[in-house]
This record gives sequence, C-alpha cells and structure tokens, in this order.
Amino acid sequence: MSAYTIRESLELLRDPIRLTFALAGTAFLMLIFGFGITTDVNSLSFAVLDRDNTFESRAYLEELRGSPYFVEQTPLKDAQDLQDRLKSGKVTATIEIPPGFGRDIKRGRPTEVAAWIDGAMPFRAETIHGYLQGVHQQFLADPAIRGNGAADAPPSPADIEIRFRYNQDFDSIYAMVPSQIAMQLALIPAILMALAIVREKELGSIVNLYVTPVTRLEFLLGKQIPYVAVATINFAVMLLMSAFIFHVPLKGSFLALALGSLIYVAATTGYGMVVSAFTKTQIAALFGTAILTVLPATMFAGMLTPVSSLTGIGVVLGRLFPMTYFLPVSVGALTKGLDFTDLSGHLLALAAFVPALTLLSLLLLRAQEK
Amino acid sequence: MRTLSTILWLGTKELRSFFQDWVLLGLVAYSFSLAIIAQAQSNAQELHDASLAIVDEDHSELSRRIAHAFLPPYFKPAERVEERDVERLMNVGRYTFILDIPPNFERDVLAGRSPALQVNVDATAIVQAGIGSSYAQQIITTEIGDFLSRAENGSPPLVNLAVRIGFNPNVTTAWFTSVMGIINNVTMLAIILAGAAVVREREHGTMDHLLVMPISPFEIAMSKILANALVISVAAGLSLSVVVRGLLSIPIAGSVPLFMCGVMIYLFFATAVGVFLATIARTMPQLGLLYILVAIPLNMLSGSNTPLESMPPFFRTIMQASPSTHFVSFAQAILYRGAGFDVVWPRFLAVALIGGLFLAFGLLRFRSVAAQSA
Repeated sequence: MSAYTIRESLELLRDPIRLTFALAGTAFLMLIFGFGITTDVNSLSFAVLDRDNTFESRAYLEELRGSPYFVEQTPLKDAQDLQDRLKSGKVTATIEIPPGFGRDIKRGRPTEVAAWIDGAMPFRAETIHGYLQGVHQQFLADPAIRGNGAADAPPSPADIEIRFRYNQDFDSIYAMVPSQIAMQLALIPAILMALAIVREKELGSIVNLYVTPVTRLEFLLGKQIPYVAVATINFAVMLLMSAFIFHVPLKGSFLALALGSLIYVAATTGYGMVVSAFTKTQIAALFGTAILTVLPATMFAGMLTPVSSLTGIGVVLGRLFPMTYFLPVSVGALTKGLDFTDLSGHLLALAAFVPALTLLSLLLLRAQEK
Repeated sequence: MRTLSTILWLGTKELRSFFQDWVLLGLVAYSFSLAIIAQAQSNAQELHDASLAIVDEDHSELSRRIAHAFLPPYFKPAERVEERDVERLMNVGRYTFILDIPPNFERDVLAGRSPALQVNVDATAIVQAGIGSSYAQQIITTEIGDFLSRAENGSPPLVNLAVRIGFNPNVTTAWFTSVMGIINNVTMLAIILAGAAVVREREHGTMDHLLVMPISPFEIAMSKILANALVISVAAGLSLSVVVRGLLSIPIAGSVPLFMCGVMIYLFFATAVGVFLATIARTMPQLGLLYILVAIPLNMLSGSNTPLESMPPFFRTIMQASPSTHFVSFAQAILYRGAGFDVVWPRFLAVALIGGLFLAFGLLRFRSVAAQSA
C-alpha cells in the first residue's frame, strides 16, 4: 500500500502543472467565488412612469431613490416603453404612479401604485418584492403624507424585530466563504481521484495491480492518500484566506473544523473513487465526476437553500452527497461560532461516508474485472 | 471542398467513438434529463417549506392566530418550542425562523403600547432568510391588523401597492432552474468533450497517426469542434423540448429555433475553449483541473445562478467579456420574456465576435502545438 502511495505521490510531484493547479487552483477559485457569488440583491435598476407629478408622487419616488438597493434609470415614456425595457432586461423593476395620485391622497381616497418586476430570476424577483413593500411601508409612515390624509394615525400596533443571527448585517459573504471551502474540497479532490484510477485502466497500467500481490483495498487507499494530503493543504490555505482576505474569522472550534475537513476530503476522494469504478474512459470519468459533484454541490447540499426545504429528487441527491454534512460544520465553526459538541452529530454522519464509499468502490472494482 | 469532406469524415469518426462509450452516453443523457428535473423540483431559490418555530409566552388568541398564519407552501407548520431551547435549536440549524411572542402581547397590542415581537432568523441560510423575513414581517403585520380591525374597526391603508411579476407570475423557480441547468450543461459538456477528444488522441498516441495523414491540423480541430457541437446541440434541443416543455410542462415564451441558433453560435466558443485547454494540458488529469478552473467560473458567474448586478463591479466588467454571460442573458430574454431577434441581436453579435476570436486563437495554438509534437 505504501508503495502505491509513494508511486502516486511521485507522479503527482513530477507533474508540476497538475500539482500547481491542484494547489493554486483552489485558492484561485476561492478568491473568485468568495467575491463573485453573492446572493445579496442590490444595484437593481428601476425606472419610473410618473403620470401624476405632484408633491405626493415625488415623495413616493424619493423613498425609492433613497433606498440603497435601487439604481434609477431614465424615466419611462409610456406603457410600451415600460414593456420594451422590461423585456430587454434593461430594468428589473418599474413603478407606475397613476394620474390623480396626489389629489386622491389629499382627499383621503384610496389609490394604487403599480409595480412590475422582472420574474426571469425568481429569487431576485421575490427579494425585490420584499424591498418594494418595505419602501411602501416607509412612505405610508411618512408624516407628510399622513398629515394630509387621515388625522391622527395610530402608532404601529406592534414592533416586529427581525434579528439576523450569526450575521447581523446580513451580508452573504459570511455564509458564502464557508460554503466555498466545502465546495472546493468536493470538486478538485474528487476529480483528481477519479482520473488517477481510470487513467490506469485506460492506459493499461492497471495490469500491474492484477499481476502483483497487491490487494484492491491497498491499491485504492494507496492512491487516495496523496490526494487527501493535497486537499488538506488546500483546506489550510483556504482557512487562512478566509481569515485574512475575506475577513471571515474562525469563531468556533478549530478542532471540529479540522477533523471535519479531514474526514470530508476522505469522503470526497472516496466519491471520486466510486465514480472511477464504473467508468472506463477518462472522458467519462472526468465528465461523470464533474456532473455528479457540481450539481449536488451547488444546488442540493444546502449552499443556497437549506436541505430541509428541498423536494423531489434533489433531496436524495443532497442526502447522498458528503458536502451536505460538512457544510453545517464549516458554516457552524466559522460563522456561527459553535463548539465541538454542537457539531458532533454532523461529524458522525460524515464519518459514515468514508467506509461506505470505500466499500462500494471496492465492490465495483472487483465486479469490473470479471 | 476537400477540406470540408475531410472534416466531415473525421467528424463521423469522432461521433462513432463518442457513441461507443456507453457510460459517457448515459452520463450525457442523465445530465440533460434527470439532472434537469431534479433542479426543477428543488425549489432551490424560493421560499418553500421554511422551517419555523414559535415560542408562545402569551397564549392568547392573537398569538395563536399568528402561529396559524404561517402556511405552506412557504412555511412548514409552526412548531412550538420553549424559550430556553431557542439558542440550541438555532445553533444546530433545526429551524431557520424562530418567533418569540412575549407575555401579555395581545393585551399590550390592544392597549396601543406597541410591544416588541422578536423574529430570530438564521442568517447563514441566506436566500431563505432574506425572502422569508420579509414574508414573516408581512404575515405578522397583516394578522395583527386583521385582529385589530375586528376589535375596533380600523381603516385600510390609504395607498395600496399592486405588485405584478412579469413573465413568471407565480415566481416558480422551476422555470428558472431547469433552463439554466441546460445552459450550464452546455458550457460544461462542450469544454469537456472537445478538450478530452483532443487529449485522448494525444495520450493514446493516435494524434501522430492523424498528423502523418494528408490532413491539416485545422481539419482535425474543426472536425472535433463540429462533431461535439452537434452532439450537444441535439442534446440541448431535446432536453428543452422533451424534458422542459413536455415532462415539466414549463411554458416557453419565445422562439425555440431562435434560441437554438444562439446555442450553436455559443457552442463554437465553448468547444474552442475545450480545444484551447487541450493544447495546454498534456494529460487528462491536467485537463480536468484546467476545466474546473475555467468552466466553473464561466458558469457560476454568468448570472445563471446568482444575480449579475450584485457582483463587485470589477467582476462584472470581466464577465462582460465572457460569452457565457451574454448567452445566459439572451437565453433569459428569449425563453422567459419572449424577446425576438430585434432585442437580442447585440448579444448574438457579442457571442459570435468573442467566440470567433477565441476559435481563431484556439486553432492557431492547436496548429503550432500539433506541429511541435509531430
């Protein structure tokens, strides 16, 4: 087994392109995604069609312009212009104020502001909807408007305090950086692992395994160890990056995080091992690992949506993917500041993957040769 | 003419080797069918079944009403928890939202004392936390308003805000995720298949066979680009018409042929990237790494997953140079908003221009590298 480890390590060390990319690549991706993937919805472009143009309508639009989330574009000319600009994606929201808006408010007659939101990206549309409601409530609470309409408006009946736990400013970087660590440790190790094994099959050097008294388990583990080592270095680099570049410091247990990531990379390389066991060509292995890791990693492992809210096939794909269990550890230790005991449940689930995946690839490898 | 027929023959060879790999074929089929369905069903980007718990220290009619106002499909039925457990439950991530209704809440509301009601939100579940907290706020406000108006005949607000969501009135995520899934697949497959087709020849030594034959490197590269582009456009077209339209019955607003034209233009770019990467990588593991470094950023930052406007300005500028951004943008315009050629042609042009440049560059590099190894 150690012979295989040494051989694989040597191969890795003598391939500077592969090694450099394996080490620097994760750092590079982390940098791009940490800054680039953000679910904060802001800088939204909107345009207005003010058919009233009175003090009241301008006051309404002022509320909107004052919001940090919106950037105003040139006003709309008419209803046709509104549809055209929405269609081309130049604006994501439009506000139309009806004629007689100001007059109606002064007389206390109910009136209506019409908003259109581009629904092409549903989650963005929902968020804009929420923002607009907020701006609208602010306008209603504006004393200048109230003074004109109903006399003494009552104070709001209850004060609803929204407390964003673990992330007071509600900045997505605090959730994204820990997620990225989890994601990077899933992709590259799995792909390298899968290719390392299928490569031997395709190039024929796997015959060495058949003719020498090496057991399959030794072969697999021997190949796995160097990649686990590479991934562990990646983890250390990313942890430093998160603290010093993204300013997302480790708040919780380092031990839990480090142990978790070690088990986790053993699991993700195991995942690559399983894929490699049922593919024969390197193309299939590369593509297979890519689609079988990227999709669950980005969609079903809880990076954007909690796993408890998933439905359909996604649940199964998510539950069978190790990242689903490492993500709470990474987010928990980095952002939530949890300690070892809080995270032990997830660690145990993660640990179950390692023998399961190894066994599975062992069985698949055995079945292949017949 | 001779060049064309050579490319055609080499292309058939390429297709044959593709169809012989059953596992690969199965994976392509999976990624364009089952994987798309899984993404469509996942509700990954909307408020759906959010877990919610309530600490009810008031036990009044109002607090019960608030608890019952959180309804599926947005929220799971509210579960009751004790105040002392809140900290622990938030830590393990059991609930995304925990409401805390203080004692004497109803009495204070009726007396106009404006009592505080706390909503604890797990802000690490970012998408849900953001949308969900504004929903929660609205639900509670409405419920208290209803309760009060029953008690003392309050008046409705003077100005109403009518929000209409264009192009996707019910804000169904499946519409978005399924089509974006196809788009991500197109980029991913194009780069892998074209790149791997080149690297495999080199690893097996068959590249030399090709080079000693009376055909030019240009013909070899073009045959690989065309063959793989053909496979992918057929897969994407089938996926869009059979899986998205048929099985998932998602309405498509615009013209599918127009979209497919765009896909083909884009494929020239994506497969050229594959060939280009293959000229840098000498072995398949190297290609795999390069692929990850190039393809995943192209996908993740193109606006097909998260909104483009929110990225730092620096990234936005860079991504404007990437055809994948334009691809996503015209795909959304055509398929969701029903835009015609008059609206999307600048995007087509951008993809064609950048793609053409890259293609020329890739071919040039392929020629020089092939010449070196020969």
